[in-house]
Amino acid sequence: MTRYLSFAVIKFRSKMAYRFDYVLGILDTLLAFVVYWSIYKALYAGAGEVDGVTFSMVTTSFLISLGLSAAFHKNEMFLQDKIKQGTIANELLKQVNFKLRMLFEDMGEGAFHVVFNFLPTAVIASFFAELKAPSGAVNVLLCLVSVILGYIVLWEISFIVQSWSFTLFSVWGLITIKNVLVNILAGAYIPMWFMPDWLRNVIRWTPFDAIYFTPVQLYLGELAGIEIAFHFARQICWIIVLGAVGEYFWRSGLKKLVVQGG
Amino acid sequence: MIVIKNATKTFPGGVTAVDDVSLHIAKGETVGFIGMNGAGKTTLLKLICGLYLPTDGYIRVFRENPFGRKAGENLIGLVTGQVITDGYNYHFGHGSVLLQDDLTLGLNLQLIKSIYRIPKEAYRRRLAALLPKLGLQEQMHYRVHQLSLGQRMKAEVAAVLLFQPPLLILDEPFIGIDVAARETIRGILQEIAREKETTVILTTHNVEELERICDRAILIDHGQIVYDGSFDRLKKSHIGLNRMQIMFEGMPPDLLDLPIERYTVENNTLTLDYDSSIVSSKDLAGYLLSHGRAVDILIQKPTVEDIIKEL
Repeated sequence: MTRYLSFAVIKFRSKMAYRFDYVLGILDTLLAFVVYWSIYKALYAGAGEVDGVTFSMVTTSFLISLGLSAAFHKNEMFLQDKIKQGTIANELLKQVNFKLRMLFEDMGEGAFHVVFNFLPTAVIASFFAELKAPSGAVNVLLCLVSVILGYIVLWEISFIVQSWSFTLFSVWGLITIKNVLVNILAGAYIPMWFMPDWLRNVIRWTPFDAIYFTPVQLYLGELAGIEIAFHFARQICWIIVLGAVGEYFWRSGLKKLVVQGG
Repeated sequence: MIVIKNATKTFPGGVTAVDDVSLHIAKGETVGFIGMNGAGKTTLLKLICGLYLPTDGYIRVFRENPFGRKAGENLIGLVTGQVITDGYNYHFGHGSVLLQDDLTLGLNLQLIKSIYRIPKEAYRRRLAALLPKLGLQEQMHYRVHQLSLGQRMKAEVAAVLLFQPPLLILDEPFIGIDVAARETIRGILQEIAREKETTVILTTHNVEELERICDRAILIDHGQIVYDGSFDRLKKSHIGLNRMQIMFEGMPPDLLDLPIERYTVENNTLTLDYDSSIVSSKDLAGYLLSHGRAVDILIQKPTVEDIIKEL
């Protein structure tokens, strides 16, 4: 395990070398928050709540989404680059599990963005924006657990799309489409509360719900008892299903590589 | 150590890169693979590494099938100097195995330390020995993509020697390397060869380099082994032609019916190719020197490279 952890640590350390990058990263995250906050402030126009959702719930939900997208930062061209350069086969000589190594490297990168982009933004935002405190220590803990599960769900979706590099010339387009779908359907931009019922019902059957919105709901204490268990179970189901699909694509890609040459 | 029996690798499309190859390499041997471009050297190496599934035949490395070998054993160290193009971005990259482009050399080596579980003390000792030898101390804080081709190859060699694999495979390691670095790497490889602990497989187009490092030559052509043995025997059994170049003042003398394979005359310089087992260099030079006014004389023994060209 320490071997995989060192992939994360070293990625984190190498990211720290780009100082200008993290200054801009803070500005970027802060700007996104201010724009969103201003729009919703104007939309609420002093109204206490809309459809039972208060302004502070919306800003808090967006801030959490920003934190999550910071954590979800990763190099999505990784697999394609390795395949295009033909170094993928050589990678397999390294005595580590390729997928795990990739996951840990991405986690190192995510951790960097959380610490250096999101946390400063969250601190600054807490001075001027109306944020809601978590509804309890247990909720924070549950939220963290679901963040980890949501992270794995999103990572697996990304891996599936990336594994198309074995057959496609470039997966950049697919990745862009995937990111737009995730950001909209997972409720990163528009909270799920404001979506029409029919759309929410559709999303409920996709893995996207498990990525952003479940952690937000847990933080705000919107879920209770059996509902929490149901949400976790759903996240775990998606991890198993998407993991199996990803593994299938990965194996068939490798098979192509060892038979046809890379 | 490495046992290959009737291994064949045919790619979809019908290209047979390795054709019915049988080979045995013992522990501690230093073997040089020689062959033209596309002869099948790299495919054979990839079969040994277990990166390709053989179409037919039997391959065992460390008594195990290299294909589908489980992770956790640091058995094979591969360094490749094959320059590859990234078809998407049209930039030239390097087929790096061990080093990651976006990390500094220092971080890369630390990563290798933890991947291959090198003990702290051994890591420090090996690093202290390797870095000054390869002149890489000042490159430690550079990202690998900032290094020049030569520096990068040296870094690759340093990386692979850090974890000391029992089987070391170097595919074209001298590409882009200057004379000084080439000598350093050759020195390191010669040392490894002398110790007889590590099995080394080396490919390069520079046959002279191979001859100085390896005890055994394997010639590959069209996916088949055409010669397997020592460099000396290669030279003896396939005696190439000697070449004599003599510059005369005025016209070169008439050659009469001397048993010479071929000759050319250019600007008063006579170039002769001859078989020294038929006519000795001494007799030939004696005749020419006594029949013309020679200014300069040069005799070249056949090199392994010439022999290969002939085969």
